[in-house]
Amino acid sequence: MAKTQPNSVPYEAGDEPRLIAAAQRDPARFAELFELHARRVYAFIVVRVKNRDQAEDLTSEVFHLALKNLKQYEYRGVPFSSWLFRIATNAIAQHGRDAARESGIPLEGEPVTDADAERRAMLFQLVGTLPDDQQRVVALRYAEQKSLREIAAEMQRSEPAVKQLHFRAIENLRKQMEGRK
Amino acid sequence: MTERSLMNQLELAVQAMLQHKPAAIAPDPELGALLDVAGDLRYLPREEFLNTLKSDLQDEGDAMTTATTPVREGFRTVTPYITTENVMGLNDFMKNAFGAEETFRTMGGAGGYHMEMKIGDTMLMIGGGGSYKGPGHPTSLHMYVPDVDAAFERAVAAGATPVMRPTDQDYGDRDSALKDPFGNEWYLATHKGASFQRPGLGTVTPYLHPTGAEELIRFLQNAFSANPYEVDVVPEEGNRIVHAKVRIADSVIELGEAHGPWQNMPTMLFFYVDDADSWYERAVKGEAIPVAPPSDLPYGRCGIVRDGWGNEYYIATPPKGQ
Repeated sequence: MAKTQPNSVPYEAGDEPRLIAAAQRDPARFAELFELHARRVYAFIVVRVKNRDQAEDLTSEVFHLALKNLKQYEYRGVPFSSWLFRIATNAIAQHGRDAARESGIPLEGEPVTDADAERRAMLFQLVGTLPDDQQRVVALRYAEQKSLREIAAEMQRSEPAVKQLHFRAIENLRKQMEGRK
Repeated sequence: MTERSLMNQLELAVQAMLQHKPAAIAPDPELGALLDVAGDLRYLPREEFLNTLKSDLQDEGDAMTTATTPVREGFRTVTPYITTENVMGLNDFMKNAFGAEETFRTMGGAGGYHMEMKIGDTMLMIGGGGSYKGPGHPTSLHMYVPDVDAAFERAVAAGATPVMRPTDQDYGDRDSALKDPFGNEWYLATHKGASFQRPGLGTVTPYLHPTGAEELIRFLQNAFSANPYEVDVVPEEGNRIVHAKVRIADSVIELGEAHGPWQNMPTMLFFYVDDADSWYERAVKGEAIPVAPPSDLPYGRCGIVRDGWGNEYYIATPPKGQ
């Protein structure tokens, strides 16, 4: 019986130049680059602006700008993410200047290291490896900011069961993060 | 700390963190490690946000592709090019069997005819005859028609040999196969859906039967930045690829591993691209065999490469204004 594999010839490390070339020829393929880099760029931004709405707006701005300017991008062996981070840095700086102009108060963010963002990006990726029910609890709790009670109602589980799932998820993630140090 | 106590302490601390309140919890290294993870999850991106942004970028990319694809009016990036000694006979057959419309005819530089035929929404090129003595390139083509049974009978009446009579398939098509008097294989099909054409495919799509389908997909990826999708494999047979679609810019090529009567048939494909030189260069870097470097010809700037299965790819940029 034939079985459909969405991509039985998967991308391998070193495929980035090919993906970039594909997107430069056919901008509809940019979504594949987005899929690879979305969480890293979002993490890079959110550790700096510490605000979900602003981080979403800036992430969106970065990828739209990258798509618009993709034809001008030239691959020289440096990861594509470096280019995205440079766009993000400029967007964050502009955002800071706009906010300071509006409030009249210069913004002084806390110092952030690239390691902070990378750790966060890794964690966001690992959420996708959790068992489905744990993944759902984590998404509802942190991304959707729902209470234990709301999650229990949505998942049709008891509150203690959701609490247990949440605990297992955090434990799983901690172990996985420890293993990657 | 017992697991139960740890779980309760974590819950209190996370609640406080999410409500931006201080938490009165016992200092404990195990709890601290868990709280670090919870703290980092605080700005976990919403899947809905990521999906919406991806979809927006896809739409924007699609619009850019449509706006910038530099093909001639009516053509997509990839056009099958069939050559045969009896090109007039093929022309008649396509008109009689499939209602093809001849949109252009000229005499090529090699002394043969070059004709352009339209079937449904798809352009095909055919060539040969005259004093042209080059090799024939018969082709396999997958064609969607509103009524496969009627189309099959019409093609047989026009001179085609039945290979497989119309049959309902479990993938939602009623399909059939014919061979025309010039060696081309036509897979006529009607899709059982909202439209008789399968979404994402044009009326006619070139179909390759290589020995080593996975390697050919790799080649198309490397040479032309192709994107394979809907790859159907048989796990019990070493993941043999029975059918795959490969997208190149706005066009699709279908392929499946050679088997039974469906064997490799070296084909010619004509690519209209924005910059023949850069596409040619990348194709050669991607292990295409150079046949002729790009040069200026009456119909545009064109180079030719070949793959390891004998398929030839004409890479052309049409003259400005076409």
